[in-house]
Amino acid sequence: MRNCVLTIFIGIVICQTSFSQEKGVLKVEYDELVSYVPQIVNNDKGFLLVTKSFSFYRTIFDNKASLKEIGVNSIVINTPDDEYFSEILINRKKDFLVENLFESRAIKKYFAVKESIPKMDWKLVEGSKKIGKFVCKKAELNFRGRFYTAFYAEEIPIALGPWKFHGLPGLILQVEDSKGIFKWNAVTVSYPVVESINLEPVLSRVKKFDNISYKDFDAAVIESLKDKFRAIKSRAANRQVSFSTKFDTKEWKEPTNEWRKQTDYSF
Amino acid sequence: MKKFVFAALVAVFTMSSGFSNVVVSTTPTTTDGFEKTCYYDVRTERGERIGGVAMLGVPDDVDCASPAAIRRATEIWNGN
Repeated sequence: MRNCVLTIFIGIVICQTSFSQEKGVLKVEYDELVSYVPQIVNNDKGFLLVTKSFSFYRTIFDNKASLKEIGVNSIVINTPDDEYFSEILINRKKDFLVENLFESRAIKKYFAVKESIPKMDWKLVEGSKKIGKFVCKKAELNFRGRFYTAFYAEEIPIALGPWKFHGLPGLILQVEDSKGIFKWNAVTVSYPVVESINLEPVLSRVKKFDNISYKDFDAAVIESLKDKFRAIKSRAANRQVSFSTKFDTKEWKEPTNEWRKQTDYSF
Repeated sequence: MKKFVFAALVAVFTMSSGFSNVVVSTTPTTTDGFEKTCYYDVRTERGERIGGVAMLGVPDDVDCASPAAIRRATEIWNGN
């Protein structure tokens, strides 16, 4: 029995080691520009690390924009930095994507949100541009409620990019959504790289955070927001002025998805 | 000075709610021809809209961008 337990433990360690210590293939740094209103451009940074089996993308949020006013009669209130957290691990061999994140809209908790690698039906279109030293081709995509235009470098035959993007015949160096809210620009590309990449901290966060499927997570956030808005309505019910409240998902990175098409909720 | 006092006032209202990370910003006010409506976006400090509050049946002489109107909308949002 003891030998059996030891064998299982060693097996787990070897699995962990081979899983968490991987030789790197590619490293890319992106400027991740997020602009919900013209007056504020959040200059986030994105880091993509690619190994033979995995890709890892981490966003470092720029909260300097929080110091700015967003228009007439507006007040900016600081939010704790740890309320902005997102990292995505993709296991390409096992068709598996997990996003470790902090849900800041309603639930206020860390989650490991799991899904199969989502299908991205890119359309390769006419057009090209030079980004750095790379000649990039153009592609377009409709994905979860947004329309994206991307430029990819066939010279780097790695079908990945920032955030969840994947599936083009080359590394995505630039991608932008048609509303102009989200834009990623590659700043530095290191390819090939030979150093080892330690994914252990990421994996430990997957274990530590609440594990949930993408579908269930989306439903939980919507339900939690509905509860929040119902509470606002009921708390303010005795006011003399009549009013309505609403929320929508149109400024979310994924306004809709395979399971939810509704974007507007009124109370 | 007036602007500062107003800012502080709305900040207090905003911070006193469970929605400590919100900003209330005015957007163009609409009228439906019968009654005036003041609409306000509620946004995070990064600018992301997390909701909206509309005050319906506002008297015609009320300026939706005035501190008093915004304070009222903030109170509704905060449930005060």
